[in-house]
Amino acid sequence: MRILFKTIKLASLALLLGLSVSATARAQNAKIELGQLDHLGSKASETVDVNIDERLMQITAKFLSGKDPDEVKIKQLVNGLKGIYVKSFEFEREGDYSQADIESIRSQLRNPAWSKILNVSSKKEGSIEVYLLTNASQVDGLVVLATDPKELTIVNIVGPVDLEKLSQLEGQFGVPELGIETKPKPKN
Amino acid sequence: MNDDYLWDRTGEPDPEIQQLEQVLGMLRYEPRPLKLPAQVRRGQPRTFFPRIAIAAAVATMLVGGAFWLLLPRQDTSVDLGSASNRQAVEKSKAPANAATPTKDEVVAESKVINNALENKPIRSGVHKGLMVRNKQVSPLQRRGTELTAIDRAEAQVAKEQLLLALRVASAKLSLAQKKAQGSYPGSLIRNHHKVG
Repeated sequence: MRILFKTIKLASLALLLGLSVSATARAQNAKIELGQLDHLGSKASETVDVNIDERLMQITAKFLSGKDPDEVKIKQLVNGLKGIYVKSFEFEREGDYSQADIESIRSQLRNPAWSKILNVSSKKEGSIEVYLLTNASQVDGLVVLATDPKELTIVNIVGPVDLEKLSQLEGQFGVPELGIETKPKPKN
Repeated sequence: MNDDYLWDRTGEPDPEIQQLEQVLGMLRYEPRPLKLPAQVRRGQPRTFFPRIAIAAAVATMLVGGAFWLLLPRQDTSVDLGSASNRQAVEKSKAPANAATPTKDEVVAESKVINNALENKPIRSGVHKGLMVRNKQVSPLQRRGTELTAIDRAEAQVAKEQLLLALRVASAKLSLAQKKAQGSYPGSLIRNHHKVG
């Protein structure tokens, strides 16, 4: 009897350990490696580099006001997120970044866990690819890879994200619209 | 008469020596096990005593510790007999909504309180109403408050970064959505979300 209890206890522990490890592994899978793009910072005229990990996300969420309606929206959006990582480079000239740089990101997204839900490409205006890491009906991660002859932007959100709410955020919470789609393109 | 008998038991023995041998021979060594007399009782080893002693010592310590913790400390308050001290105590017990004392009153009161405190050693249980507390922040507490300040600063920076990240993400998603809407009949993102 005692041996049976010991076995059950060990099995439960192993199960818990396995579940936690798989959950952690899944959460970590949603984060893609962006460090290989750091060398582009020296070539870029403008760089945006945002790294908010889970700890910072929790601290930030605590400091977001629960009364301000704009901040409430952000709080709801970032609730449960485990990280947001953004790298955006804007270059003076075309060809300052290579296809190998983009490929280093795409290769990570070829994992079967990721699914490309959107790919809009144009030779003139570049392309936008949206990848999702889904688990059953829940979105566990998002990657937006936007390339332009003079711009390269990667957004990686780790955790459950509401795409509709996120796409509607532009122009809200006192932030002016970036108007990226209306940005005049220099004729080459 | 030779003494060979005494030396190696040869020769003619002396009768007196033979008699002595007989008397003393009763006491000579014989290799046999010890036989205890029947009156002596063999008892159990008294191993219980140290256990009881240890248990009693532990129990005493526990009871003593409980008394030490539970019994209230003797409150040897400041001698309130003098008029000045009584005045100080009455003032300290005054309701919070009483009129705000003037600066002179506060100085006078603090002098009275200090005088009252000087009459007693510091560690002798000063009356709580008269006790001036020096709010000293321990290094750990200080570190805690510093951490909070650092956390706040960090959170402020992170908040700005978060807004920037959300702005970029939202702009790119919105752009993708609009582009997709231009080339496809419906929004893929919206459709996916509804399915998901």
